[in-house]
Amino acid sequence: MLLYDLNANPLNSNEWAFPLTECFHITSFALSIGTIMLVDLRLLGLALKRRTAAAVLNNTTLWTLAGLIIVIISGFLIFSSDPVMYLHNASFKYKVTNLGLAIIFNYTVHRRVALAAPPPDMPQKPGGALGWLILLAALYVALPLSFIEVAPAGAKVALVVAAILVDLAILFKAPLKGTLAEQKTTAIISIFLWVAVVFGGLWIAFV
Amino acid sequence: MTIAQISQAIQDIGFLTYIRESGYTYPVIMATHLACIAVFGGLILLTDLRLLGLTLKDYTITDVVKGLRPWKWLGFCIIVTMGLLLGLSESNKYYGNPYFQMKMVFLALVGVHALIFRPLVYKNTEALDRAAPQIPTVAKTAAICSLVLWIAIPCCGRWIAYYEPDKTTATGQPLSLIQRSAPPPLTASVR
Repeated sequence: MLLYDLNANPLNSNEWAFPLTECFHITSFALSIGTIMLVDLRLLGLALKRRTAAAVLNNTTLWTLAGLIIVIISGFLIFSSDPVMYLHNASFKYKVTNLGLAIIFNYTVHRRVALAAPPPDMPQKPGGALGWLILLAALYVALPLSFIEVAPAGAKVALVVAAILVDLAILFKAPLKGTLAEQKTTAIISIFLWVAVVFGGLWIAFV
Repeated sequence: MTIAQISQAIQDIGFLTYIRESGYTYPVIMATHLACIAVFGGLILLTDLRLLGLTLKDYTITDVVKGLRPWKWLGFCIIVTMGLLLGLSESNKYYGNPYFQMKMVFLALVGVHALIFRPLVYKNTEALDRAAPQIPTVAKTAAICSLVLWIAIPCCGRWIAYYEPDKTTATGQPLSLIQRSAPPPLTASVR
């Protein structure tokens, strides 16, 4: 067992360190979520329509990665200031679970859909694998509800595993390329996940 | 009437009292405020980075500025609305908070920034694109000022929670920031 003296953590002993770390956390998640949101707006056909979603993604991917790295590092530092409190906080667990799902989703389904989205002037097929995406959306809605309604730990784990498996199935098996429903549903799920991460993070202080 | 009395009268308004004392409404408003900062603040950052030539270089400045403008305005309206509800519901606590005051000053400076740079940059994007690949200094200046302001605003917002005006140190000096409460004497163990 590792003994950890909270007094030795500068975030607890220095009055500026914790707020400053939080400022880095907030700014970096604005950067990362903002860049991801731009890709989502393009997938929804609501912004930067002159080029493909792939072009938006390629232009922003490094900034997204930089933002996520700073978010995770600063988040870990904040966590280290009182790990026992955070580990017992339901909202923190909800946030971290959604964060993990959001990152997995962003670098699997979301990335594949954005890179495969056709140019704006090409006709698009109606939804071909809408069922898969509806299942995925249902899982990602059920997951936060399971935390709110204090479902058993086994149910939460099962939902997370199911969401990841459906994610992988869509990525490797379902014929989705070029469908409009795929793009829009992927964007909506992405927005939902990242907003849930922010809500979960804010709610830590209220639990 | 003093400022304190005006603040108290404002926060005593029925629906603001409800917001302040509610278990879910206040957190939901604050979470919406924060989520919009994440979403739309990011779009502002991206616009500034484009003006600096650091991202979205496959798009013209006109495409980026005009394409994101409606979304930035929508986000700004939601953020300000949520911020007003939060601020007015606890106006008695906020009006004397120097970090809240700084945040309001920075917000006012955003308006000044818009007045100065709107005709030169944001309504003049075609001229900026004609100068490509060079980006005029005025555009870069506008971007840097915008970045500084829009990073300072949420930072001041975060710092609001750490200020308590009545605390003093053992020697009677005013404590400008809340000391993070010292952890209990027993060390915490982490597996």
